Amino acid sequence: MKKRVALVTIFLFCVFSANSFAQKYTISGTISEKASGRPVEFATIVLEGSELWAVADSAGRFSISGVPAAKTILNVSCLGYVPWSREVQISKDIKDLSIKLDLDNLALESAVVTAQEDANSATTARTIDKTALDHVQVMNVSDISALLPGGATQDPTLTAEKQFNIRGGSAEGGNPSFTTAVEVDGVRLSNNASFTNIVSGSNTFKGTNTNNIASSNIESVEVITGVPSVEYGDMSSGVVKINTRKGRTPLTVTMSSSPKTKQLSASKGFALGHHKDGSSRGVINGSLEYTRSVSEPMSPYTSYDRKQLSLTYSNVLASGRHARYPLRISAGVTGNLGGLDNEADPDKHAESFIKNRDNSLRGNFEANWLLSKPWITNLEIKASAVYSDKLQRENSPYSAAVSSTSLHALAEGYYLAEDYSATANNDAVRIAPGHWYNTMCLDDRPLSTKLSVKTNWAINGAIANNKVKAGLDWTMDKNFGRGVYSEDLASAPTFRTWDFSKVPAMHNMAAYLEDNFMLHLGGDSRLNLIAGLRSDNTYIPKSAYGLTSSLSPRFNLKYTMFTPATRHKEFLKEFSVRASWGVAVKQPSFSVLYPTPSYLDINVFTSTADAYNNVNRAYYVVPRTIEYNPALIWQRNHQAEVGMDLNLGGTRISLAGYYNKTLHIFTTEDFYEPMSYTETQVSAVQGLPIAANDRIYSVDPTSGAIIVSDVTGTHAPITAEGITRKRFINCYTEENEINPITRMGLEWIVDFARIQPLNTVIRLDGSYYQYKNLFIDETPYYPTNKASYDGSLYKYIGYYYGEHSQSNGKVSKSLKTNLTITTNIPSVRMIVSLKLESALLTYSRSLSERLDGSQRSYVLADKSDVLSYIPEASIYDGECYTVFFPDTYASIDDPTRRPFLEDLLKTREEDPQKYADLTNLIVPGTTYNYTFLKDYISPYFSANFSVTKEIGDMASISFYANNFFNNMGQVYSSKTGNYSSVSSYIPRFYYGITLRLKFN
Amino acid sequence: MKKRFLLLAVAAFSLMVAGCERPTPDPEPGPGPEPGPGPEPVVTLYDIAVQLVSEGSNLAIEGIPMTLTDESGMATYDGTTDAGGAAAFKVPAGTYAASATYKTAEDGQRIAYNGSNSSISVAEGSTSFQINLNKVVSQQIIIKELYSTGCQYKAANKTYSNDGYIILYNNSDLPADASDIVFCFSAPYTSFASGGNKYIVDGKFLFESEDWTPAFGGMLWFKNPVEIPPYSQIVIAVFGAIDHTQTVEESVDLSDPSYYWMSNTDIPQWTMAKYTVAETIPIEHYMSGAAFVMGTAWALSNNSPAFYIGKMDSAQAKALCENADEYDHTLGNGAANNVVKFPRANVVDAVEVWSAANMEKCYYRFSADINTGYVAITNNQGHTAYRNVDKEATEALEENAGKLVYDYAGGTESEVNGSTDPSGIDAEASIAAGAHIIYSDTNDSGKDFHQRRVASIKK
Repeated sequence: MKKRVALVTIFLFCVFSANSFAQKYTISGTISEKASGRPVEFATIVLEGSELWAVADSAGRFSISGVPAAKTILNVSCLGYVPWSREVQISKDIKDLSIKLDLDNLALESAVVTAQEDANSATTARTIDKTALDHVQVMNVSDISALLPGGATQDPTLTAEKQFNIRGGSAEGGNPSFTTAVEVDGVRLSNNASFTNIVSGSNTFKGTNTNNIASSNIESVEVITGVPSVEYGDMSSGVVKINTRKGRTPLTVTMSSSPKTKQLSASKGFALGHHKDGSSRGVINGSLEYTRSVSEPMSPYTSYDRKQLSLTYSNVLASGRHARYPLRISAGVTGNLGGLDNEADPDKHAESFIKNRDNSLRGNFEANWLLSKPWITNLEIKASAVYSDKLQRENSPYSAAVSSTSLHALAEGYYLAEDYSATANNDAVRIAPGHWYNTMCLDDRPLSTKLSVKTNWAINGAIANNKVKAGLDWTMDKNFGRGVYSEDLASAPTFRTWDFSKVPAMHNMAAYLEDNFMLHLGGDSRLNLIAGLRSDNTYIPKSAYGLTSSLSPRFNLKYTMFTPATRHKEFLKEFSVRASWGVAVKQPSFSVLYPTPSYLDINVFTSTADAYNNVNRAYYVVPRTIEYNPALIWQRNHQAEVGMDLNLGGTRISLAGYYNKTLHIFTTEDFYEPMSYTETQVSAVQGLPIAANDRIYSVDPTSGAIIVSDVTGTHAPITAEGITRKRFINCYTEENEINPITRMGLEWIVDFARIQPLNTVIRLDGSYYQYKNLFIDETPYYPTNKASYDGSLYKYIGYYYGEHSQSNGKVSKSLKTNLTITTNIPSVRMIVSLKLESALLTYSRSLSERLDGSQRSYVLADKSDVLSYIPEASIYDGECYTVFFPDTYASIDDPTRRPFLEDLLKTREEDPQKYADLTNLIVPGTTYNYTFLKDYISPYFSANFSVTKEIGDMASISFYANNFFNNMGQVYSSKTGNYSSVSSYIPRFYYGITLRLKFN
Repeated sequence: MKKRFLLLAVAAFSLMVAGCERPTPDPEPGPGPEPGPGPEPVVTLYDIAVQLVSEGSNLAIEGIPMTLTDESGMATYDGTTDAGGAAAFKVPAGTYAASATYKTAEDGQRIAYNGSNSSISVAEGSTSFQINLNKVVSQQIIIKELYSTGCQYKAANKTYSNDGYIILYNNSDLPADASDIVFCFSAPYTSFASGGNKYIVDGKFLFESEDWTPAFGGMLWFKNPVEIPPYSQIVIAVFGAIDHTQTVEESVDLSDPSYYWMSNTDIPQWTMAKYTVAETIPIEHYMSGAAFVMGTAWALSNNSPAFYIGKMDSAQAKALCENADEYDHTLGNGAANNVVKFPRANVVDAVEVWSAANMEKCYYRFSADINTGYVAITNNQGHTAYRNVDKEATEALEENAGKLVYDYAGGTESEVNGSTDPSGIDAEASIAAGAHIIYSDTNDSGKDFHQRRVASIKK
């Protein structure tokens, strides 16, 4: 072992030592626009292997010094121009390098409107550029998912929340959207501090809502679906990097219209002039967008608005004292006002409304300092803050025929409802009969801040170069919302205050180190190994969670045999293979860490109604226990991926296969505790000697006894006879699921060689996806609203393997392919695309099995007899009715777990009453006989059409029609034998048009 | 001519006088003819017995009145049955018609025996006769009105349905014992549930070949003895036995002290706040029951219930509700879909309500021996399913002379899928005028019920 380490050390020393301190060279030149010859100020030049960079000045001049002798790739980019890239051999100073950039427009034959593979990446990453975004007229950035392999077009409305789901389905377990990171200009749009990212009524956590990201100002979107750099933390499914327009740009006005969405936007980037020494004062890019989307064009009243202003300042300090060590800085601020509002909708109840704010304020600062030292190349400092205002206001009608009670008590005890008083604590408020409105609010104001320092150090050798990246991230998530409250407590429904702002902040300190080693093997052949390790340490002071640490190792290996650069005439123009493995960890959100406190409110007494329908009600309030599980660990994903890129005679083929295993999935689980309380029936106070009109009711807060007093003083107070009832109460705890979820799939993109006579390219992309989830955690279940045989509240609780339902898992598979035909007509500056989306395989099957593969449900011989189960029969063999039993059960009087099935069989003859009670814990599957059948949905298709035409340099117009054949057909389910509308799978016919005006 | 006519008239009068003479009771009745008193015409009287027979057996009930009428109709003889169900007469020879009617109530059923025999030929040696009585059984207690479909709550711009009630009516002239009446509804609980009626397979009810009908949700019964006087009613509040009009003007007042309340006090899981009772309702009128389906209230549909009443004592009903081994699970999984098999023989009356807004999706829920037909109701309008009047039977009641009110205008025939009482008799107005109403009872909800515009108890 020691010998091996020594050999590797010697090898690396040889590789780098010769050149690490060798002579350095300078590359300088000018960058200009090819057509006009005008200098391109602010163009960025990056030497890929060395991490050295420069920015062109007003004359288009640039200069990079300290460049080591090596073969390197020179990348040049500037907004509005086609990126330029060349491999150059540095062996001497290069002066007067003249780089001419093409304007990025449809006059170019190379214009593309599909996602492009990042050829230089060691993992799977794809980029969608401005041309493609404009062509498909993205209104919600998550719609670009349709451009990924096998992606399907979605209904483009903004009135429903949308998230990214990378390599995962929205309805699947494992929180795929929550674990997908979304960044805008490097600013993470985290919803970790949100209390509202849990899917209502489920155990699933949502990812970042992309509705409030302005779409008109997006320059490009990069989607990393493979194993990303360790630089990226707090995600486990993938990274979506959104880059907005920066730098100097002409005034651009965009107008878009579709049946559901209208958009008007303007943007301009302008230089602030120059200092006396000729250095630039910088550039400000401003963007303004107004987007309004309605849920239903026929009744365009429920709407989502997005009003966004974005300002970005950027500059490069490269003169004077910065001449040697240029500093690139940028700072941006983006404000969004908007949200959902249905107040104008005449179809809803008179004065009711829902107004959900989706306001946000993002600010970021970034400084990148090119130090070019032997021990450090760049130092990058980033700071960002994202504050969101997601106040939800809902004004709803309420009514009650008899006086009602609203409970706000937080402590356990018995409460008798009393009329609202501004000075009382109003634990239980009695509201007079009638009808009224009340506005309930949910104030969620998450703040996420991040400060990061990153350094990189590039070492270039003759046959290898090495880049080391190290960094520290500190993030803080805090919520400043009031939580739940009412605008008028006197008429509010039952709710409990829960002030989000009192929940402590969550801090995460991360450190990472990554080495990117490139070994040139001669010719174009090279081997790239990226190895990194990330350590996340999450600290939540003043909470049960304390400090939680996790490590994320990640490895990417890529072997490139050929590149097209030198093999123009060869049939095999490109060939590379890659493999990745890594661990990615997702921090929890506050929704995960702090389930909403919940209370069991039991109506223990209701008096008779007086002539005006006023009643006295008493309640027993029990706060449900929430166990803040200190053993909770963060959900993680083990990702493995292999990929291959090759180019055969101009046909480029990209393949990526992956296997992801999601472990320790966040989940909220129930547990039950026995409890008892005192109930007083109305009959107990009927016939008391105190006249009804003279009664004053009160309740003993501890015992629950109802005391009836005589307002006249004639009779002594009387304690009504109560009944003791016993039941279970469900409580919550945050857990990690025991069994992982697995996902695997294959993605492919085939870009056939351009058909030159037609200037047409054909892309065939697709994805095969397989998902399996088997929930094996023990689940307790107590049937509420059910009485025992003896008339008492139900007294048994069942413990089930997996969920309390027939199935505890699901396996699904899908095969989706897209055929995109794009014709570019540069002479008229027009590009036309036709995309045929198809789902050739949509398969799913419910599972009911244990981890060892044995089934947990049984086939019934006679569906009317739950004990006619056949242990040896398989539930997967054709149609059958089934039954599922809890493994054990316990009673309210005896917490000892007992075997359920054994006792059920025994009590059937010996104790019919107990048998009757136990049957309520059985889960019979006698409604449908196809629960566990394979479900194949017949293939379905949709065709989309898009065209973009530039009219000179000043205007362009795009039109699209999705599902333009208006496919309204039906699909067949092999499981149910039923046909259903395909509209559940593909959007209905939809179209839109966008006009862009550019004022140079 | 005049002489001849006079002679004939005298002869006829003589014969008439002789024929109308009521026979003198024989202090010692004997089997043979009694010797005549000399030269006067001798009328021989025969002792005969007329036995009442029903369904092939003697109707051995004492005291049933019987009338014997001679062929000319001029002479009638009254008698009553002895313990063996036979009435004795002493009549001259001749042909007579005999008739008898007997009404009684058994197990909540109204039973009428009617029969006659017009071939009673009294002669020497022919002294025993029979009257075969037809036995006609009808229910004493019927569902007069069902209101569960709610009303408008205009002030709050919404609808309201916590105010359901049921009226049971004694459709007979004999007191009716309602103590063992139980209240049920069939399944599915709405008439147009998506997925259809799982009980119907190949056009037949799955339970048709067996002896039960579905009972869903729960069952309610009286705690104390309940008797309904002839041609009278009781009102049972389903959820809130309060004066709903205090809050909802369009609703009804269910706080009358005579009303009953389907209380939740014996069913701890029925915790919905709509279970409220006014101080005015006596505790003796609180009802009891059992739930066999998970839920927080009795789930009587507020748009299309298949409601029925049955006869079963409360202990038996409770045992039936709790016998999980006998639950039917045709509707689906678990405790949420338990269905109790209620014996069809015990069903007293039923009404099938279809949703007027969903007629094309509706299906039947009762087998034909319980009910055929339906009454369509538009929900949330304060409409009720109200019983039609049996016009012929009601008009036949002598005591109704001059008390019946016609030109009924309370129906909804002008509405889509609306209906009215074809008898034209305004039952409520007639009752107010002192009439006795006999309601139609054909076991066909389409013939027996109509959609009434306003609840009958709404003042």
